[in-house]
Amino acid sequence: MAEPGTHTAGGRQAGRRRGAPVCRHCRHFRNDADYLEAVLPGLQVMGSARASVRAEDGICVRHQLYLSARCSCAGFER
Amino acid sequence: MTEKKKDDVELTPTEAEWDEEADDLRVGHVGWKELWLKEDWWAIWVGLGIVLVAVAFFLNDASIRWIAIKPARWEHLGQALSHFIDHLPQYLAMFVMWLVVFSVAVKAMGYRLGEFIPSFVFVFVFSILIFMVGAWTHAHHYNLEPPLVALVLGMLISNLIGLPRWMDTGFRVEFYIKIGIVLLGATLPFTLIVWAGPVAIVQASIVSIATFLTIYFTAKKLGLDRRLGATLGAGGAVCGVSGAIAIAGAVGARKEHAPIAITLVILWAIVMIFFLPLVSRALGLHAGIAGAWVGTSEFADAAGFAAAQAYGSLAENLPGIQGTQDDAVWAFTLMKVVGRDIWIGIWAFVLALISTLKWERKAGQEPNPAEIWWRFPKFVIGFVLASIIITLISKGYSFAEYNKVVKPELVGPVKTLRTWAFIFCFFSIGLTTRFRELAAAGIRPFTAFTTGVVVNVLLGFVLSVVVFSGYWSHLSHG
Repeated sequence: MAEPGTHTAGGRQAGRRRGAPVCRHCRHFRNDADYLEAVLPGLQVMGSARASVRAEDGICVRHQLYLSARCSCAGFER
Repeated sequence: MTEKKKDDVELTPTEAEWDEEADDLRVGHVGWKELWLKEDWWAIWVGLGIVLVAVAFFLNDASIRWIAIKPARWEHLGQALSHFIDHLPQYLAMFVMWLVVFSVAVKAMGYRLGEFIPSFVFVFVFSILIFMVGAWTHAHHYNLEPPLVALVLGMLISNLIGLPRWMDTGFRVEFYIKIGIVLLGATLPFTLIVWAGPVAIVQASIVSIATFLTIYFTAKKLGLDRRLGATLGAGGAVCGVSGAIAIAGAVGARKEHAPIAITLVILWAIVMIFFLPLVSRALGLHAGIAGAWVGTSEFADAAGFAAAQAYGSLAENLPGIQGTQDDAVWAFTLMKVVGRDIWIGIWAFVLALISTLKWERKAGQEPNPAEIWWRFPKFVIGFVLASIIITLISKGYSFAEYNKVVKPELVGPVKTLRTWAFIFCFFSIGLTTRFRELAAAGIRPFTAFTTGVVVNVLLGFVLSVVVFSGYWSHLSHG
């Protein structure tokens, strides 16, 4: 697993496995659509957090990154 | 301004406010739930639903024309008012139709109906007024095109008066534009997509790659983080805010990178809504050629449709401009949707690969190629299906029969409903563009992005007006 703060893209199935140590299951990850539209100024003007192109991306509030829900790092906390 | 939180994590006031519900802010794997949670799919359900209902009526010797009402041309205000009063039941029926289908969709996507309904009433009432202004016989002499009026009026309201934040629930720019694009598919012959699509892909690819590389390497030269360079590049080269947000996630950008790119996309997109039609008008460009240029050089779908529709309207109403509104909108759609939007998944996958293997050097952690599908703008499926359905229905009719029967009874009403969806969208752009709330971009990102804008606009002009002009000025015959 990568060192803390260095997020990697995650393996092919890592993101889907229930409870896998990827961002989607981490307490520092936020990918709720309303939340993203509130904290990313202007996203709603000509875009949307409910668009397919966003996939399941979100914000890691610990490392202040915007990244895929399938990423992982050593700082994972459930 | 930031606030200290536990774990030494610094949160903005907005983040801190939301963080009270931190556990609810993590959404698990969406999977097939995307079918009812994402607006791309709802654009398909609503748009294709309308098309199928229109087809069902048509095949039973009826039409949805009654409910697809729009303001008639008027010279004096009294004429506009009497038309509206005479057709009030139709306007009410259309309002109820939009309200019901939108309410089902937004409820499924998790919005509060108590917020959406009053907000949409506001949008609808102003949309009638905007459409009426556009129907004034002298509107075109004063540049009072509905898209531009909607945009300016919305920006005046949001920036000078201000509306409660909860009303944003009804100002869903992307939702409305995607429904409009699916409905547009029903008015665009599939044969035209096949004929001009490859040209659009070639032209758009040349401009997209040149613009991306210009922005990325300028950003790198100016010492910016390469993830910010890639995010800015995708915003300018592929599909605006959607491109920026997709690439920011794919490369794992810093949280502040996406808002910087979003600010620059919005500012330049709004400038281009006015700039491209103005220059096209000054040069007397054919509507199809101008539409292709807008499709190559605008940064967001919604903004581009506003520019293309406005110029198409000028072409139909002012002497000296060749082509029709269909030419402008079709060329724009082919270039933007077929030439640029649908490739966002590939851009995201390639940049995620580069980010993981070259920037971060983490072998064995390759991104999943399925990302191309996850990020695919699904509403395009509805756009293509709508085009195929109407093309098949029209197949058995001669050109004369098509103009006499299919156009007024089937395609025309769908086109009218599309225009309404676009006006909801254009007005919503204005209502959500609050300049003081946009993130500060900084001079270096501005310089990098603007360099790309210059390359994009010039290259787009040369390809549309010189290299491929033969295609874009003959779309109606394609």
